[in-house]
Amino acid sequence: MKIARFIVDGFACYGQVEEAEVRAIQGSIFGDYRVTGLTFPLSRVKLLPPTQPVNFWNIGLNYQHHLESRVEEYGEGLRERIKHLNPFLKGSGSSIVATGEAIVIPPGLPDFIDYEGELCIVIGRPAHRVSPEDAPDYILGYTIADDVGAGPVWFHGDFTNWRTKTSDSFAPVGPWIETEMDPHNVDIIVRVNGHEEQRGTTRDMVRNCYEIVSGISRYCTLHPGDIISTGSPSPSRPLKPGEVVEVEIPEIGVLRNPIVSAPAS
Amino acid sequence: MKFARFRVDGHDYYGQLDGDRLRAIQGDLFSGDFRVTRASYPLSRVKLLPPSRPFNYWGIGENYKVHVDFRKIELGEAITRREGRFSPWYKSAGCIIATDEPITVPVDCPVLEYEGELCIVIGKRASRISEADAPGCIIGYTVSNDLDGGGAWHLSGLWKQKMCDGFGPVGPWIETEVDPHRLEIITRVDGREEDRGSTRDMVHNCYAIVSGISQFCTLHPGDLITTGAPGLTRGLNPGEVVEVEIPGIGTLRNPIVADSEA
Repeated sequence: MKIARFIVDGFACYGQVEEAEVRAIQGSIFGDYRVTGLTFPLSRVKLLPPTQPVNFWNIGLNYQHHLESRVEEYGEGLRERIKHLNPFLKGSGSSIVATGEAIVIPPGLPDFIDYEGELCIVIGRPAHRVSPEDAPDYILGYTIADDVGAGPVWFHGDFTNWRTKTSDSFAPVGPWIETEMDPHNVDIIVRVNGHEEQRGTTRDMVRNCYEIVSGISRYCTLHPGDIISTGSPSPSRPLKPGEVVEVEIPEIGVLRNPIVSAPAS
Repeated sequence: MKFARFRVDGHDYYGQLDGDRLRAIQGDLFSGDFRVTRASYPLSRVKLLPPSRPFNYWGIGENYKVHVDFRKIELGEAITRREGRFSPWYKSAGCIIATDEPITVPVDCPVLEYEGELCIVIGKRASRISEADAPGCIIGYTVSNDLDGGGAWHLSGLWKQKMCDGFGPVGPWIETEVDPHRLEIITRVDGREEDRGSTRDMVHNCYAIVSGISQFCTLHPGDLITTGAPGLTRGLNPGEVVEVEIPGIGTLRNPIVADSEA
């Protein structure tokens, strides 16, 4: 079942997506709800990011191929570091944008971004110290994320990824949540300006979704609506304003975002 | 004026502190469109909550020279090269707890250190604002304890170091009328003073911080920014009680407890 968050006539709510329509949901998708008869064409609504998370976790380097190319670039020390789970936070609030919204490169950063098309877990119940075996019970479903970045931190003289990863609009998520799929057997396809650039599979994850949920929940409670982006299969290349990046996971849908430069203030 | 977020009889409110009572407000504190009602509760009857539910909880690294010099002993050149640099980092809204709530030391945490700090509370949306406009976007200030899982955890990524459940006490309330750059920060453990600093010694002041973050990351009403540890610290032990007092604002107090689940 596909659940979207959307706004129509100034009113935001959740709805079940069926073909080219969305049927409004009454209640909470994290608790009791029912699908009503109130239906809108998808073309008439504006899709919002699927949740408003307390925390938006991100796993770096979770695919062997991606790791190998980073080791080539940055040295063998990287291998040691990813032996341990090391998530970072992507930022809530204005970092997160929906499908269709622009990735805006701010003044003060060079005029390019890196994309990273990823499978994204959506948490359904509060999860505190859950085992990998129990983790599926805490997952509502899955969506798509593009872990946009502005290059390595040291490129800008920084020591934290505060603006390279957390700037406004650097966290596209969507288009909706798919509640019934096996996350460990799907393709992740990235297209730029309509041309396929990358194709990977979640079969190649180093840590699987259940291990990730268990590992984070050991120290940090996961809240309903929290999202965890699980890494990209391959390294990226810089994209420039005017280009359009799409991330498709066939079982879910397509997340599509144009890249623009911010007007200088 | 002091405004606290509190829970009584199963409902959450904002209230204005009036002596030892809280007078519930009706409306939206952050927009300024509110009135103070006559419904008041003694402080002893309510449970204080963290002063806001932010989208974003930011920290600022290496913002006091005394603290940087202290960390050099352990971290050496890794800290030296960061000196002076504007270094916001993302702490996590999920780790926030209120005054009087217990801080659990994870069973495998090598050492849990306190860091009593001044915390900015954002009042109005701030995006690419100047330093001159920053005061108008700040509703007030509160107290934070930016706990730090140290030792070997300093090498294993920021998440366990800074974002574990309970590593972000904030409170007890928001003070709206205080000069943030003339405040003392006093940290006590079991009633004994352990560290004292002054916000006069900030490397990057509050207005530069708000302006700086807002160039890239919009700040929203209720967002929190903890502005850096001023001095020394040490590991805390289960059974101890840590207090951070900022005269002019109030005292944030949290007991340390052992991990119940090994």
